[in-house]
Amino acid sequence: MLIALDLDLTLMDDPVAMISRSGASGTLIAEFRALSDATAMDGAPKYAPKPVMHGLARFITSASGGPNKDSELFELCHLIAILGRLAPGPDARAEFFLGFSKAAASVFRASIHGYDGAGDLEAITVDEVGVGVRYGDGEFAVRYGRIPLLAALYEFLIASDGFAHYQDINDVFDGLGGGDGNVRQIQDAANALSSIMRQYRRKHIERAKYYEKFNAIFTFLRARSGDNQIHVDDEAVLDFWVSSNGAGDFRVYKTVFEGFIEFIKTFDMGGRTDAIEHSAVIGTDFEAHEVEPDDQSGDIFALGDWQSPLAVLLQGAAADIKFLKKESEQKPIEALMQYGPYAERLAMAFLRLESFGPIQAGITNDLQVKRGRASVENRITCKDAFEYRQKVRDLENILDHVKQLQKAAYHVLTSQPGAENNVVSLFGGAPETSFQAARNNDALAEVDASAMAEIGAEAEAVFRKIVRKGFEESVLESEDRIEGFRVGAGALVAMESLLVRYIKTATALDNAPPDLAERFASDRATFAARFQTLYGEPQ
Amino acid sequence: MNSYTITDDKQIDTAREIFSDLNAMNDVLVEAANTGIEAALAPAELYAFALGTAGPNGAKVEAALRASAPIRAAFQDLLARVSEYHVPRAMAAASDDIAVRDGVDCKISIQPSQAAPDQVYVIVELTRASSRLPKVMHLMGAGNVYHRAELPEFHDGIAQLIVESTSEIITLIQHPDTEVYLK
Repeated sequence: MLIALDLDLTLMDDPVAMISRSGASGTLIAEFRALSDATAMDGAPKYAPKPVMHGLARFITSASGGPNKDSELFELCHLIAILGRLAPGPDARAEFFLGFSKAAASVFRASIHGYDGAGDLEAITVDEVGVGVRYGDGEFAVRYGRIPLLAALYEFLIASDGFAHYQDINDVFDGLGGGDGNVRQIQDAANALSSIMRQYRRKHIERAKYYEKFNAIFTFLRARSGDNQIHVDDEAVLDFWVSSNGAGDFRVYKTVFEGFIEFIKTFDMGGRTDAIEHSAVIGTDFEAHEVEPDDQSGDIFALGDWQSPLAVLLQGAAADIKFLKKESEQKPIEALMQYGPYAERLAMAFLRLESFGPIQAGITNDLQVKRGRASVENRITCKDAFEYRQKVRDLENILDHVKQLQKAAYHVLTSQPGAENNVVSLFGGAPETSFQAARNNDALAEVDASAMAEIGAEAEAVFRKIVRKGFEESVLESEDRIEGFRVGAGALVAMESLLVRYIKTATALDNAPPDLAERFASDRATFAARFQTLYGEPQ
Repeated sequence: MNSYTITDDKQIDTAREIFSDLNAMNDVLVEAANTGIEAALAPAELYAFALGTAGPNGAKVEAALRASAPIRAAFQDLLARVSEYHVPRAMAAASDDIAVRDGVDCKISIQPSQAAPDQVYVIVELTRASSRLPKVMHLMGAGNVYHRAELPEFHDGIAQLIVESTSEIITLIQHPDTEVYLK
């Protein structure tokens, strides 16, 4: 109770706390935006939204779920110790972290390779993957792919709370520059920073509202189960929404659906629950659990840390290639790509979201803009909702297109000299079999070498048939475009995999009674009745 | 089916924390993209301003320097790290205005203009050669006062500005509490 009172008082001191709608204070949002809004010379984001800003948000909110929630601080301190040895001048740290306009691994790699040897280089190793340091009692390496996130973290830390901790943090960093450092010193520095972050989190994240949300879902599920098991299924999502009292966040079906997804993620992360208990101590056994969300496309699609492959197609080098048309090819799969494997795990609940979520959004919008009762009453009937089978057919059509895009990407990537290695890394070690699987919608199968020519010819034909920006013949000679296809191919593989799995699950639902048509009819009545309760005129 | 076995209250408490963390993270990402809350000052903006390359963000940085003591302190630290030349506060509190300020390897003096009585020269003299000649003069005054001036090209280690004798830059140079950084 005392803690809750503390939080409220602290947040009241925050000049923009009341503007923030979430449990994060206005100050936190403003300080996060200082980095997420920053742009490079070309107008692109200075820090990639994913994985960099996503990773920073995860760090700030302690949502990393790893063995130690502040392990990034440990890594940052090592990097600063490395910089202190590579470039010992007073302005080297500021120049390294603040003096660039684009926070990319390649930029930092060039910067580190560019140091001219004025520093204490005996303990430093620099290679193409990263930079390492050897202390008297241990060693550590930082990959270039991690540095964009560490740079964002550096900026966030020194500016936190309106630069209130700037000097304290700088003092910690200044202490890491000497040549006699050891791992213990790094751990102490990281712990000092961790202490500042704990205070920041307590001050700027109001957890009570999230606790209430968790308690509501957990109590509901526990009451349904009746034993020491809880079951999170499609019907639980619908029943929870229908039975909620209509107040607050749970009035909206989408919010309920997302709450249940977070609930599943929470219990999936149960194996890593020691993160909270041990978050005060940094450094022990870090190496064994190091997360490496660098700029390689394949790293961002791991289950548990799902990020939309669609977003990957829309940023960086891939953004200049029109893989998908916005309305007809992106929009229908946006939600599926956003929720990823969790949509598959609550497949029916997701179909309901796709069909009835837009109806509820429309009603809310009608009420906000005061469009009039007629429009609201019309929407309440749900007569314009997408039928489930139509939704699945739409996904099948887009899957076909994604397969075509994969072939086109395959052609671009295999047309480059020495391309075999690139394609192997993108298509999971067996490009020809992956492509064949894409072609046939089969499981991976062995494809002999003689089939490769046929596959290549087909890929080339598909590439030439696509008349869109980025698919011109000239792309085969453009490094930027090829990089776009490299990134895009990884995203396309992830998209295909998800679409195939989801369609399979939906088809299985359709093949068992009640089929999707019957489910849709029943659900439409349920949603219409609920909308009537929430938004209809009193009878 | 997503099924989980509940073992004890500790597991629930831990799950509640994780759930809270995940939701907070989503809120930060969603709200940062959609909110009307203005972005705070980023350290890189402050750094660019110290280097004299602030561009369109200059007004935002200057406003922050006037409004926030911690930001001023951070800025002064950055200036100290990046500046080639520094004029510290004057040792003695002078009753008269100071006409010459001495720094390490540099000197700033004020001389009246013969041609225009209401104007004065600010003469910046470098006594140590440097491969990087300063382009900006940052003046950190007492309280919230900050002023910056673009420096003209140096010739033989000397750059001259001509300004109104009542201008803020003169007031600041003459004040013993003002620190000057040349970058």
